[in-house]
Amino acid sequence: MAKLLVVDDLLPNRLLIRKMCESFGHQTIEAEDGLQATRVAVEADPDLVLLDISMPNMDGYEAARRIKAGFDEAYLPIIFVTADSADTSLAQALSAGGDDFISQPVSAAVLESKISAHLRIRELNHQLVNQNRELARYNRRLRQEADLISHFFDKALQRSFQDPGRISYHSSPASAFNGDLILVERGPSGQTYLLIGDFTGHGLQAAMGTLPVQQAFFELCNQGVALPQLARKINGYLRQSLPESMFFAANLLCFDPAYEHLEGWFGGMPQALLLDGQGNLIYEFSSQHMPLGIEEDGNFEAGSVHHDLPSESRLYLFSDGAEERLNEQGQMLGSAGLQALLQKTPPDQGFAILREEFRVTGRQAEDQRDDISFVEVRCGRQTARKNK
Amino acid sequence: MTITADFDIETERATIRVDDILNFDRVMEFRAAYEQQPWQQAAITVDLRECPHLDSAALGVLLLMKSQLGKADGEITLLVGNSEVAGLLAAVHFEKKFTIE
Repeated sequence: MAKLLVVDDLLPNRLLIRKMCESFGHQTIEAEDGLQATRVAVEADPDLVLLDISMPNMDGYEAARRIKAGFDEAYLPIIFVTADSADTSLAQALSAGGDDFISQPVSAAVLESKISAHLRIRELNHQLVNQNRELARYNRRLRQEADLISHFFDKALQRSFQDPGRISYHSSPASAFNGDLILVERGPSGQTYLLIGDFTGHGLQAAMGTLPVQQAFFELCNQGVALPQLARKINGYLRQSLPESMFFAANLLCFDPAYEHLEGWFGGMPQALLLDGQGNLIYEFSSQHMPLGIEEDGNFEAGSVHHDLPSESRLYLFSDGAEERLNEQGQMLGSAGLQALLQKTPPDQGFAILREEFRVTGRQAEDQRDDISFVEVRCGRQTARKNK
Repeated sequence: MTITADFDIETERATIRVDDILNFDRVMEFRAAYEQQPWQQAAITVDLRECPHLDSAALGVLLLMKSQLGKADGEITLLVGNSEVAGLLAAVHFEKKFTIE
């Protein structure tokens, strides 16, 4: 049963329509002109309005406009009841803010079918409005949860050791969560451990894995474990916790206190580049191993490489988001592109140039497809820079 | 269709062809291509010769397929044409898990 508002200035018309509506099983309320109708509509909250057009005080067109304006979200159907069918069309009824019209003399069968059709639309509209509200509420909650989770990730990363004289890094996620990870920690004998890695995919799914890694990383570094051991341990943790379809490409590095020597474990990341003080490429560290989290412990290859670091040299490490980004711009390919970019840049501006390069693309943040990260390590003996 | 699955009864070899980039957005499509097949017994080839680009999620789904179908290292063959794809597979040393041709 629905509640119908019947508006007509003539009592016999109201009575007739009321009788019909009641015979369809609906409840009715009445108004004698447009002005009264606008008031009753607000007070009684009807499901449908049957509206005469020519009435004193306020005509049906104006009343329809006002009633519609008061119900902007819910669909309140308004059906015009017109005395003369000749000069009224559906188009006119619609442009006046109505949803349908019926001409007098009113046929009970037509009235019943029109009422039930519009009540059905109203019902569907109700469901839609409710679903929208539900979605909006869900969306708000999701955002709050995302903020909370971000907080955890941010806190975890703040534990990284800061060595501004030696290490600069930058990481820009493609979504609210970062599947790239950069961690730095100082070991008990003054050595510095550095990890840059990239989980499969991006977003929260990828970021989840960063928490166990950072925990293991800090713990093991504080114990001063050897680099192969560090790689093996992290691989073991990930092997246990990651689903089969996920892995963690990572470079693990350990620098001596003077940054004159590095030990590195390179697993599935883009080439790391070592440049001398003039910006010439000295060495490329290519991936030696499969990413972490794939191999069983028994098959895991923990072998690391050693390399001396000349004075004033710089080491650059990238995630594959950085490498791919340059590909998309179509200028140069992968690590060759990064190499060329760094080689034509004065060495002391390498980091700034990279940040600039990726900031430009950051403006098109919407189409950033993967997390982008890079690290610069200023290695070897650092002579005081002379003013030139 | 960018991902198609075929089974050759005579050679008992199943082939999944990927004719476009394979990335995060297509991983589900790739999974659907092999999960619906009774391929535990079959020799499997993933034909990536027309695939210009893989991302890490694509590498992940290759590993997932290998484990779900219970295939040993090297039992699944990857056909590679594109040099970028070849470079990526080399960087992650997938030759330890797959036969790469």
